Amino acid sequence: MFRRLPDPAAIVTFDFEGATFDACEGDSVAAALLANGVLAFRTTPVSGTPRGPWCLIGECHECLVEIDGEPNRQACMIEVRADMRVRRQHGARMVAGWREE
Amino acid sequence: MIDGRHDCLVGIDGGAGGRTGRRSTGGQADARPARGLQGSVVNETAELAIVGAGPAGMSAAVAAREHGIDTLVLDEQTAPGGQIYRNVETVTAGRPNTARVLGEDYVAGAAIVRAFRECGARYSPRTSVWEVSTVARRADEAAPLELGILQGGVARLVRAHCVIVAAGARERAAPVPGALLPGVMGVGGAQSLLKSSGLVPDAPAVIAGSGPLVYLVACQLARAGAPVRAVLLTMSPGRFRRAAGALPQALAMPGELRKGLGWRRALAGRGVKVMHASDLAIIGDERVEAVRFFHRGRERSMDASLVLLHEGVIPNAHLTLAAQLDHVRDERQHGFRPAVDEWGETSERGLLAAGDCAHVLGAQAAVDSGRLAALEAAYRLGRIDSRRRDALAKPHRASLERRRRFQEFLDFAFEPGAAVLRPSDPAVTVCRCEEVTIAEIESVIARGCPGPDQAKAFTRCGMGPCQGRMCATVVSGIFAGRRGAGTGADAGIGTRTGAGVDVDTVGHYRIRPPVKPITVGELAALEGAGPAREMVRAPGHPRAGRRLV
Repeated sequence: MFRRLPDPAAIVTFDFEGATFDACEGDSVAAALLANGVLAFRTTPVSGTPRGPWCLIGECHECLVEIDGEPNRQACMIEVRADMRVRRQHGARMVAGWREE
Repeated sequence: MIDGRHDCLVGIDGGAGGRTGRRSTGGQADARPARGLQGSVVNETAELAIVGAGPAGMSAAVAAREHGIDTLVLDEQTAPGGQIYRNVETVTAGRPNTARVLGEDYVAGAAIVRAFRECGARYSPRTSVWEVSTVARRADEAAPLELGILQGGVARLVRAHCVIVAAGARERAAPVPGALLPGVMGVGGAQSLLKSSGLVPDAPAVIAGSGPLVYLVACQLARAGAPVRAVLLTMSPGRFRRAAGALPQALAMPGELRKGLGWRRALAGRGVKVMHASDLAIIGDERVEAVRFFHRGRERSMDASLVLLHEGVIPNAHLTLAAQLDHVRDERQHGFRPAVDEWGETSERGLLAAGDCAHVLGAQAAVDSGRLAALEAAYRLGRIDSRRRDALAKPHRASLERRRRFQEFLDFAFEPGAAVLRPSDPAVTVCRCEEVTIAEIESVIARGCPGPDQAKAFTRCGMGPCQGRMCATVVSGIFAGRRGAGTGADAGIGTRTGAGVDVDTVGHYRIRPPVKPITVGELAALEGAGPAREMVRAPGHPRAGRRLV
């Protein structure tokens, strides 16, 4: 869906739902996913339909994903890091720690 | 209370462990704790705090430093530049192909960033500002304005004598059928991917909308060899030709006019189809498959895997709206912006706005208005007298005036059509977060709902994670178009004029802080937060006993 212009960049690898993806250093999580052909980042809490990033500047909140176990993270605002674990966010996000109480 | 429908402004704390290193921690500005109001600890003070490191914020900082002002710049991104010069340092230093595709106007931003880096302002990247408030005004005359910030998972308070909000602009939502499908994004969003990561579409893409950015990005993507199938212009046919009537304004900046005409030629030269389109719809099941539209009265369709939409930009006014400053609606640009004087000062003393968040005029004007705001701050802080301030302001005023005239031409030529400002297709979803359709908004209007703010209570529109950023102007437009026919106190106004009430009367959603995502845990860990902090410290809570500030 997207290709990268042939400029030099260091590669980092991260985990997306069990698959190992390459990204370039400095990519946002959103850019890294799009570069790997992922268009749908989440399903909505109301109707369960798939959504992907729209604005890519932190405004629309369409790119919410789960990063390293934490839901509701804005993929376009967070830099991808080596060994990050990223998952799609399905429906309403769960509240980690809630069950402990 | 934990399902996504109630996913209000504040996210609930994500997890008990593993938070360390979860967010990139930027270089933290040196903290200088000072005891303020009600026993709360203000983590940092500055004479001038600037929100945003785009052309307006950077130029304001440089100008402020020229007058020796202690300046703190807070910005969400990892590097200075704002959206227009996003990632420009990295690109100019070592990404020649990306630099070539983006062009010389973008590359020129590197000089502004360099001047900013060298100006001696304290710079806080990866920092979001979730509130600007005047609560401290009565007690602290030296630093009467307060900012709530979040940096590396730590919420803090910054107090300043003057604040310049330079939060930029965002793309107006395009309420088109199918616009929610994966594979539809903003033209500006696609350009942002190009700047930050050198990404260009590799599958059939259609660009649709109105505004200079449509032409610019179409040219950049075509230059990069991306398969741009067509550029669909959604402003009414003939509008650009009629804009010839605004030629005197256009000639205020002949260089800009030539640039724009050059984009049109470049697209033609690369064989990119540019055509007028109405009744645009995006077709697809789980993702974009095609676009459908009318051209010269005939229905056409075109296969596409990506659709890039753009209907102009509007001021990013959430921070100033949440501070309850006076706002006006720009009749030409159809957006709400803070009311400011000739220096950029808002209805709150010492609180200024500069750049596109005060009036969408582009990067060069943002440099000028940023400098004007800094001059006013220097005057307020006693660094210069009014005569010197006025003398230094002169060239920037002249430059701004030329740009304002040129903008009149642009606003006329690219004004969004009724399909964007007052959409009527009942099935279109206006509120992306809570999935509220135009039919639902119309239904509550018919039942007497008086305005957008009340519609939130009826439908939850504007109450999701984006806090109404994507739907506010559209919902206000729908109210303006329909309310006259309703049963409320204004019944009859619209039926008499056929145009409903104006958007000014309808107003904007009431926006409340925090205007950026912050967890309850982060807020509660703020020093001096009182009972909320105790809650977090309750035994068994994931944050129990943890101290962040």
